[in-house]
Amino acid sequence: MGKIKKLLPGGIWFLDPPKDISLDGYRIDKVIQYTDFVITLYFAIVVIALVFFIWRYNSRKNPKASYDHGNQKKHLIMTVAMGLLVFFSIDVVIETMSFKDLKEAFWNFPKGKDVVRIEVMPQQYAWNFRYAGEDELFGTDDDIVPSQNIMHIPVNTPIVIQLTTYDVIHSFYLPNFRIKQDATPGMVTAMWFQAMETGQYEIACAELCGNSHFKMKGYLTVESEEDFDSWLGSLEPEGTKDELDDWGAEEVEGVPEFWAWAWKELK
Amino acid sequence: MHSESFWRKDIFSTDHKTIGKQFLFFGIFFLLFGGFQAMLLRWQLAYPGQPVPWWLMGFLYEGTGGIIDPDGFNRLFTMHGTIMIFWAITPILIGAFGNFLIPLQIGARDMAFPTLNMISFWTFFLSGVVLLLSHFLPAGSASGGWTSYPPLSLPGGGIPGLGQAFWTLSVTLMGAATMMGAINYIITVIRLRAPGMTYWRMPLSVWGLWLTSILNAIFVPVIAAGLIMLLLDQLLGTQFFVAGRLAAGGGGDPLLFQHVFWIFGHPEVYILILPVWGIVSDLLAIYSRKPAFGYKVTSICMSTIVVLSSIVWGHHMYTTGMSPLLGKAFMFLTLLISIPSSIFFFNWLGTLWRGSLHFDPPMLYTMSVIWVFGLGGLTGLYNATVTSDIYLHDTMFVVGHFHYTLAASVLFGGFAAIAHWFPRMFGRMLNPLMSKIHFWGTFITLNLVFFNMMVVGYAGQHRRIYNPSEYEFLQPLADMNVFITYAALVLGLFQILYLFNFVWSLVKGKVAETNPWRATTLEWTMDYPIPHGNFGEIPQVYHGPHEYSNPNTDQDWAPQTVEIKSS
Amino acid sequence: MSVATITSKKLFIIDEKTSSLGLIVGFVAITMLFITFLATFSSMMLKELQYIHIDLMTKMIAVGITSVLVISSLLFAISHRQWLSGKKKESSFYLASSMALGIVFLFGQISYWQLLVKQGLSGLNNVLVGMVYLMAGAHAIHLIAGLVFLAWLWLQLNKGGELKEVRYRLIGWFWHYLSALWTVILLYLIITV
Ligand SMILES: [Cu+2]
Ligand SMILES: [Cu+2]
Repeated sequence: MGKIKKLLPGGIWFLDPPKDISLDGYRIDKVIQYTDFVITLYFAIVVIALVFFIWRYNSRKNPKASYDHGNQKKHLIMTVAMGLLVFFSIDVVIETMSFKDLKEAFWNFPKGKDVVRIEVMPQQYAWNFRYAGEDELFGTDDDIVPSQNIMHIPVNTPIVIQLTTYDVIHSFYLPNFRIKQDATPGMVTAMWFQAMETGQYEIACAELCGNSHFKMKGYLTVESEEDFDSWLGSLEPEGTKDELDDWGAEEVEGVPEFWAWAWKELK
Repeated sequence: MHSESFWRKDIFSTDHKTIGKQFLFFGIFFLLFGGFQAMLLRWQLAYPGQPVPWWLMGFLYEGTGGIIDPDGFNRLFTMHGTIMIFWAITPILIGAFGNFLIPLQIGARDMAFPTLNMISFWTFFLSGVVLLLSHFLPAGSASGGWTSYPPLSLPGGGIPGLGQAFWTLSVTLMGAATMMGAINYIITVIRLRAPGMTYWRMPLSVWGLWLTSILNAIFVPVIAAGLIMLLLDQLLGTQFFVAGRLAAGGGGDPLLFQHVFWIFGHPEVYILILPVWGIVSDLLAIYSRKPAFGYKVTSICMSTIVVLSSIVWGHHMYTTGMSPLLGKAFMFLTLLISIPSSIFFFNWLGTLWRGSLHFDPPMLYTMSVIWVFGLGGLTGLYNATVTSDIYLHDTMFVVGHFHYTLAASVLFGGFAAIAHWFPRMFGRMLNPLMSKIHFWGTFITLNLVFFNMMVVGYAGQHRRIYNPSEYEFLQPLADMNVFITYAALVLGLFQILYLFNFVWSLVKGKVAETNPWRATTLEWTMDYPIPHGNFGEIPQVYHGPHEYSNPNTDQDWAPQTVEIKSS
Repeated sequence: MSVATITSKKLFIIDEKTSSLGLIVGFVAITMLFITFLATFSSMMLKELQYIHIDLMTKMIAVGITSVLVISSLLFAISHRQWLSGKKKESSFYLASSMALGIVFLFGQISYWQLLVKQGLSGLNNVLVGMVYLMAGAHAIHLIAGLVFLAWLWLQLNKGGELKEVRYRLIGWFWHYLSALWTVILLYLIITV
């Protein structure tokens, strides 16, 4: 596989995906690379068979076809064996890989003190983020809400986000982390990830949400723990909320205010 | 023959052959319409915000200086998807060939319920008119995607006007028409098979169309239920699919629509592709002059897939926040489909093996289905797997993948079917030279377009975005997007050639003999034009549909009506 | 069939078994529509999106209204029997009363709906109630179609012309199916709500 990867940038797909800077993105790349490898193999077999048949069994070279219904036991055994071979060499392998990755990483939400929790509420067409502040509770006076579309996270720290939406369905898509998660009205969904490299990255909305869906862009800054803390400290806490609501009671110039939900404990 | 008036004979005809042709012309019209929309989409993706040139009918966007605006772009892909699936593929494969082939191939005089058949077409026609009219609404047609997810597709979602309601209404009407057709096809196959035409002697085309109809009869009502609820939300202000801030008081569940949509939506994929599988299986046998390899196994595999297809819809919803258990179950079930799929795929290769291959245009189109469906099927693995789908979901990769399985396979299947049965439908041959040029042009450019769509998707480009250059991580894909667009434009050019070939052959094509392909099935047993009622006397069937190169016959084929005496 | 029969006006005659099977496939489709509605309803209830509370009295009224439809269905069966044994007059009478009860049921449904609205259960603010109205409405539309068939049958009976037994039987199937369908839906609602 490694060799195939070197022959072409991006393997069989010619173009490289965005740089993976996450802890677990390599798992997704690995599943994709294995699938690349096996489907290339099987497709090559099909193409070779086709070319061979065209060359060997065209009507000029082979004017008389053999009378064969392919309905004998040996044929059945052969085709079923091929079916099972495909199933066990492709499906079972990627399924095992995928299950393992889900169990070890994507569905294995980190717990404990050093986890950074963020609430995300997209709206048409912007991203709202909320940090819990010192008390580690959402919906309290010391919550920190940076300006729209700005998200900072510390490097090498697990980040858990919970999402719901202000209006229609959006999808929080981090190309550099290989992940995305829908935000659907009426429900809170969750996702976690961990950055391994500092830098500036982009957040996109992956689910069609209206005419400006294409420019619903967020800016993700991955920085060191200290930079992150000082950034967070430099922001004014949101202050008192009288009317607290899951999706915001008021709107000031299109920006919803006083939205938050109590952090949902998962599993 | 008593003569019927023009209205009875050509417009409100109950003759399945006429209705089949009506569906064909109807479908081709919409295919061109949706195809043209695809060209505009591609223009915008390659040159975002630049005026559409005159040769792509830039004057349509006169009001905005020739530029497609974001709303217009959303309307384009919404309508492109809707039209291609429901008003192009459905009428051509199921409407036209279902109608034309089923009675002829099983030896029936017509459909079981000819009047219902006629009503089905005109309901379909009406639904198409409603859809077309929606383009002239003051606020424009629907723009919420072909999936029309609420709450975006509801009044609170921000799409102005009645476009979304028109969309829902027209798709519901289309569903009603499909339903009538499905009842007809199912019963026709059960009741009107000629003497000797057992289920195991039916051509695989009929098997495919029959299984498609069964899926339609079961799952179209499911989407109908969802669409009725959506329509009530859109027009009466109920809140079945509204939640959160947009739901004043009450509130329902937007996710429920996704479930209902995909419970229908996944079988719909097979509804569209099953007729092609059947047709391909038959045509491979005819042009290899060899019996279809593992006929029974192929039809059993197709039936197995029909059953499996109804329990895998969740693979479209991995990123919605599905419970881990459900996610795993849907992944496992989806991957199971690859067993029957690969079995009948190998049967296709088995048919070619040791055959005597004749590369007439229908065979070229048919063999290319093996190619495109192979690629389409294999790339489905990425989307069936939860983890890789988390990355690839809602990207151009998915778009490329389903264009391979649906657009490419169904188009080539449709081209093959049209080329093969053109002499039966119109009494003339489709010009072979033009067909071959069209084949090669389409095959090459189509692969360039759809494969590279997957490439840009793998490189991260999400779908349904008006302007990829908004994002820095998509900057490196700009050249590829331009390349895809030019390939698509050339692909479009070749379809103009096809249209020319179709019309030219209709008028000036070589007059066909009764059975130009030396095929064994019943539709080739009578002279052109096939009369209303098809058969002088209902034929007796003696054997299966693929008796080619039987050593006990003088020629290399034995019609189903001729008994083979073993020597 | 010979060529002569093809050229006659009717291409061929749809036989009994064919039309019965067609109707059965139709039933499958309608059943799928209502299964989807019921599944949607159940999912909304399991997710506790809304609550409906209906007192026993109101529930009993619903049972009462539905029994009208069941009786209508029984009357149709009697009418069919009478017709088979040649009693045209009685048959027409029972058919008419079956039809009348069908209409009574429809009006019953409408007034029941008004009753619920009066209790504050409107379909616009409560999706569960909305689903109930939707199912009742979808059923009512099929019922109106059924009434049209019944009326047609009644006209045929009284015109005195020839009437094919299969038509009588199949219209009956449809009518029984509709009352069975609503009974099942109502039972489901009563048990779950
Ligand atoms: Cu969005
Ligand atoms: Cu699917």
